[in-house]
Amino acid sequence: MRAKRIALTTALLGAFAVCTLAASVASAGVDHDRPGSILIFPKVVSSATRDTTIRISNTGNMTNQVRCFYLDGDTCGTIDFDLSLTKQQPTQWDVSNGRTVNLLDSFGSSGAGLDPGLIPAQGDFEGSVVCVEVVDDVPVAQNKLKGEAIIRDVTGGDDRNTSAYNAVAITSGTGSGTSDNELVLDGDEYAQCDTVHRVDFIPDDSPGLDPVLGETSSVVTNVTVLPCDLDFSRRAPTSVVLNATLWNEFEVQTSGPDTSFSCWASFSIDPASLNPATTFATVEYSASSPVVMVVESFHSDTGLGVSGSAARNVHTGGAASTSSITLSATP
Amino acid sequence: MLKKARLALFAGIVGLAMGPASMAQAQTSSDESAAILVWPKVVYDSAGVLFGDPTDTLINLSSTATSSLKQAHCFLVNATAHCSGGSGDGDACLSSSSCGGGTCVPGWNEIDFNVFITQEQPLAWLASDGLSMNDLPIVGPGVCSNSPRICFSDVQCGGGTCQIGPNGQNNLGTGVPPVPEDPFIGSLTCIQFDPGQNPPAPDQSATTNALIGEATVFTVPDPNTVDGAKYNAVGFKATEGDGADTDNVLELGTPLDGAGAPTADYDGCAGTLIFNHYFDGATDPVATGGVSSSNGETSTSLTLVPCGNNLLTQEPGAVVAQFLVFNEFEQRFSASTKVDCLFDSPISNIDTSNNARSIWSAGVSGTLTGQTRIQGVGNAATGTGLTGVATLSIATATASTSAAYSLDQMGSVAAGDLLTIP
Repeated sequence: MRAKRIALTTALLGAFAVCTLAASVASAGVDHDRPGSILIFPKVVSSATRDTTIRISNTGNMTNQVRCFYLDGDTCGTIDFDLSLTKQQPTQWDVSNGRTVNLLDSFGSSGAGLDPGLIPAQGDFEGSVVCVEVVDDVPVAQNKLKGEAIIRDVTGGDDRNTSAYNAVAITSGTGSGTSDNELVLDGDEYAQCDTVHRVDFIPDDSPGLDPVLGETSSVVTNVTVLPCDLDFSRRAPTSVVLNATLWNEFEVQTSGPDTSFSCWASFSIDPASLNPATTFATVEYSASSPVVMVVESFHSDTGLGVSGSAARNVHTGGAASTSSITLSATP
Repeated sequence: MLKKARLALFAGIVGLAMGPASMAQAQTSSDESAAILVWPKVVYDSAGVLFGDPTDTLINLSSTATSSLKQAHCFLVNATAHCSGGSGDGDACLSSSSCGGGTCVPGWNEIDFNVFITQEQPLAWLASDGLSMNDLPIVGPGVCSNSPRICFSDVQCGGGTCQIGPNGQNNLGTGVPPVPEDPFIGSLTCIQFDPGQNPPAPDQSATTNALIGEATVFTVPDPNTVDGAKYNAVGFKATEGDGADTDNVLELGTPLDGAGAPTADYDGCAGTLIFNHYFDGATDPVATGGVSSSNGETSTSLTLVPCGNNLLTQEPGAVVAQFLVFNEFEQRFSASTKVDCLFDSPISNIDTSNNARSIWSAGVSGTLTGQTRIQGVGNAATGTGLTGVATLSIATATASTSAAYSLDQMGSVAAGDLLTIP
């Protein structure tokens, strides 16, 4: 009896320790450099001039099932598909081609490896990809997914437009998780999104322009935003107003134009309010509804017509109000 | 019944084992403001001697403090190796193969400097140029506090103070040297100091963790083109419970004490770094060039630096990096290499000089992409933590293009790391 009591006590303490672990992990919140349970690729492009490669890997030692959604930025329509990743398995696909299930893929080909599932190809597409850890179609947060997106130029010219960024990873919350298709980002089920999004950038009308290309160059910084409130079930778009606060190198603070959008947006930072314009500037966005974002800058020489691009994750902070991602029901 | 009790006991022990591990959770981050920033890769090569094409790095450093002047005390580590002997004696090198019979000897030295940043101010400089007095945005003249007189220093104000800049904050005292040699490869570490203290010390105010940083590595293959690869600096936050450091030994992460309070000065370095990558030599599945399309070839370079360094005695951190590599068949490979001050190499040269035989070669792995996990081991006094950045390159028939991305971080180094500053 005494042994049983000791075992029970130890088990309870162990359970407490595991809960502590969950709480500790959850404190990390929305990250760009840690594995998570929900992966968001805010900017995904497939067109005649650009294509995107999505890379996802399972960092855990158990098979990880994943439900993914293409979210069309124009229509807010979605296409879902399932992945199954064995332990530590990486996988990839190009948005324009998708990925077929073919056991006969030759070594070294784009389909080589354990096929994670059938991934639909997209034609002209501009929007996001959202992936969620599930077990038997029920969302289960394990914080084992990581990913990157690589956007590249496919025209074959002199342009050097290859950009890469880490997927936004939303980790588990402090609670016991969810058992339905509504994933609540409240810190309990899943970590909240961030309140502050901060970007250092080179204003495209700044006097120095690109510091390497020189006088005839320009730099355009593009921001892509996706609301954290997503309803894949009803495909209902979320409306957001973004407020911009800008600082120049002289510590002069100005308010930029507000940006209103529904569902998804990709726009260039408007530096017009910077007074005076300086070579470098900072913009901080606050949103009426929680969002995630990624930044891509295009450095070009207007005289020569060539350009290079680079993407990065934005600096973030704070915990936003509750938002939710509602998955569509599985067939 | 006894079996159930054993099971419960086992589950409990497992749970307890996981519990303390959680306390060692790494909190270093590349997307939040912090008190220590590390840029693992800073390069300059005006003639493309080391990197093939002319290369320079734009460093961005900003303050998120909303009401106070912040000081960043920075250390630029020069890790450029040089040939010893042979026909290339004294030349910068990446490996002995370019030394004409000589040996490529690793180098390590550092230069420290200060950057004063006003509230919410963005600053940036090219590694090749640095930031001189003439480049600073807010240096004066100011206005005396006791009369509307133009001034440059307090002595001109007859008992008053000379207020330079909005809110009396300015960039005076800032001086960023250009990189000391060409070509150059190294890293940059900036520590937030409190300029109000005498002598200045690591910032322990409520507005510590105010620095954010980025780097853009520009490659200019010819005067008409430019390629940019951008990454966020890795940040170490000052721990809230313990406060920032009061001596010159900065402790980066150890487990919490019995009361749940941190015993380190700053968050710890990641115990495991993870990154996805194409295997080197993989054929890019995306064809470029329209009708006469062709597929490029991929390569990835990895840059690693130890989290701990002894900048006082000029002893660089030395860590053995152990690699676990998984391909898309879930097959596992392993390798290790020494990270002495700084490691920068194509991944297919980590384990061999013959890229085609590497476990990071697409021909060996058989799949396009892989996942690599990195753990530091060793017995250096500075610790075994590592941080870094990855850079993807895709070479097509007409152009080579690159993009950098951050490494994922998991767990923390159990024993922590030590960063000793002068």
